Amino acid sequence: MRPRSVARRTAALALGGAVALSTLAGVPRPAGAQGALGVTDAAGRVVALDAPPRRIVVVGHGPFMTLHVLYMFPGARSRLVGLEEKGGGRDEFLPLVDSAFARRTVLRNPGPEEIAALRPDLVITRGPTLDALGKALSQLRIPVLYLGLETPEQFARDVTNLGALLGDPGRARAINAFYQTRLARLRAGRPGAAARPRVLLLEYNDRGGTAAVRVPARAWMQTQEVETAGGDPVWLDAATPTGGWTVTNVEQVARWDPDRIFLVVWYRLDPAQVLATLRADPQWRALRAVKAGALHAFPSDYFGWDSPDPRWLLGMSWLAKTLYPDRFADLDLKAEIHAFFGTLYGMDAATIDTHVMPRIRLDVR
Amino acid sequence: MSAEPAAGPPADGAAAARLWWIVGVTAAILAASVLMGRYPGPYLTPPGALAHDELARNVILNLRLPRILAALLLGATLGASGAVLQMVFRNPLVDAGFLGVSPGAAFGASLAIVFLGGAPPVVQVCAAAFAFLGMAASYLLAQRIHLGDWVLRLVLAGIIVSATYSSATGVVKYLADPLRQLPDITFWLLGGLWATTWPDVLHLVPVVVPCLVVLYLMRWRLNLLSLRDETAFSLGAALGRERLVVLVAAVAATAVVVSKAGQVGWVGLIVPHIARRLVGSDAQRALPASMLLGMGFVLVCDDLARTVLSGEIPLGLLTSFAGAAVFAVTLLRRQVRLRP
Repeated sequence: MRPRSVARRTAALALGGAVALSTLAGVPRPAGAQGALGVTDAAGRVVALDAPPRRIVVVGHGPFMTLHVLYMFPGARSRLVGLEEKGGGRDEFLPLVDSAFARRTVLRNPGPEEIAALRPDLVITRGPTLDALGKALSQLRIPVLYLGLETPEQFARDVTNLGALLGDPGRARAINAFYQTRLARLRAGRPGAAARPRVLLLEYNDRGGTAAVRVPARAWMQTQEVETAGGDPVWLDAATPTGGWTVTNVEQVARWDPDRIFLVVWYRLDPAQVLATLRADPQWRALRAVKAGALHAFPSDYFGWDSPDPRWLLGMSWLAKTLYPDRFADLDLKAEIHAFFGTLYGMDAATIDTHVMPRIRLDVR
Repeated sequence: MSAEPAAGPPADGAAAARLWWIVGVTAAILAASVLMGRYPGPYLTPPGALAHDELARNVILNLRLPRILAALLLGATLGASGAVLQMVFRNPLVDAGFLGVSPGAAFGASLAIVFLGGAPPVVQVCAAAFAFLGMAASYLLAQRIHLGDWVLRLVLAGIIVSATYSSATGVVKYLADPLRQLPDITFWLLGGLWATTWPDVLHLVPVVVPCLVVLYLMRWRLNLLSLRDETAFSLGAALGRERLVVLVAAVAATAVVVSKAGQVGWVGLIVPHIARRLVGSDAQRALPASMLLGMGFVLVCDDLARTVLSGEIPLGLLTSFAGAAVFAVTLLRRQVRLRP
């Protein structure tokens, strides 16, 4: 047979096959387009289930944040069948809440088929828009719920959505009430805008061998924490609007000339050592806030209190008390920590005292 | 200039047999690809699962098949456009990436994602426009460079245009929203088919298939187009118009597949070389062989990308590694002569 006819037949077969298969497969209907339980998620998509999920998988960016929200619903814990882990090892906090946590299937950067193999009836992830993974899972008719978590309002909506889909709206209301009560107290206690100190929140890391300081996005939880706690964030003109850290430098910090500097130290570094290094640095030492002893490390326990983990409430409370010790003199942080882990995760006082309190680094200077 | 193995072209019968062999191997890879994946376990979906497992059928129909078809279109396009560009420019060292076509498409797509809303048709049109601009700029620049012969000038011009586009893409990346836009742009730079769905394939088909058909139908003229102008003119060929047609078809198809798959390098460079070794440098066989080998090569790389690890390996990384290795072996094992 001549090469021309060989290639022509092959091309015709391939094209015909493609058209036939695409016709056969069609475009799948959106996952859970109809169902008894329905919510609009952070990506603006309608997620509907016929019944509460029995097999949940948590994946995506910062999966520990999503997991920590999910674990505030006691009924969801046994339904978690798989979770994604990123970067630096296993979650040391959740085994304190769930003794079976270690038995969950761990995924690393999973694709849609890897996730489908766990046969989930709900995949929970984070993000403001439908991403490639969500798109692929939707093709398999596996419902995907996106959480936002980046502001107190988004957090409240995410909790409400989870409560609705998990069939436990009462628990969602209780969680939101816990947060709203405390938020209202913080908002009521802070002074008017004119009397607020100029605050700079920086992330410090040495990834890549070079120390860098970065400011958070305007819409991020870190910025929300400063504003809600009564600080005047000075970096907003340099920050991205919706996402990402922006690298800055000590010259810019000097220009902002903040009253207080709060440093979110990368989890692999020792905050006390970082603060000591900066205080010894001639450029940092010359800053007004550093001279005044107003350079602080942001607190953490197993996870930082600055990020959009449920702990943001603790971070906000600590920040308010640090900025306004007189106005929040009655705010007992130790009691707040017990209430947080006890009420939201069901941990008893002994466990909190033994395992959580020793990990908390408050007021590192 | 053209690339020609020193050992001479294979005989007609042997070349035809090899073309059949390539068809068979590509079909075998295609069949295996359908069953390769990470569901229900690593590496393979047992054929029996299709009978009783609805999710397995769903995975194959709605995840793997559109992706496999996109890989076939991508491979065929890159292989064909590489062969066409190498022949038309009489330069064995060019492909869409070297002439600024792929970097241009990536820049156009980045621009559309960040500043024009990122709707798929806008991204594709923008990618195609800047891809054409890239190739035109490389060609015009090469004419104005006064250093070395045409091959060297074209390579140098392509490097300049590609570097300019890469820098401009860097600026767009810097301005992109890290959560909403940057992941899409990063996808471009690494290349991959992991987000391919049926609608994506249906977006590719109306542009890519007609372009490939045009190239296929004009393959017998490619031999003339690779001649020097004076020689071709003496044989009665209207080179200007025909060159334009094949270049437009090659670049349009490349821009569209790149707008979906991102920058998948080296395919357009190595596949035509291998094709010419197997079936000879006559474009009547070399072009379909390039298409088929391109399909097979991209399909194998994509199978590895989605199967070897639990997470996705960017396709562009695999084609670059494999392409560089194959190219090195090809050049080292047999002497290649650049013939004026």
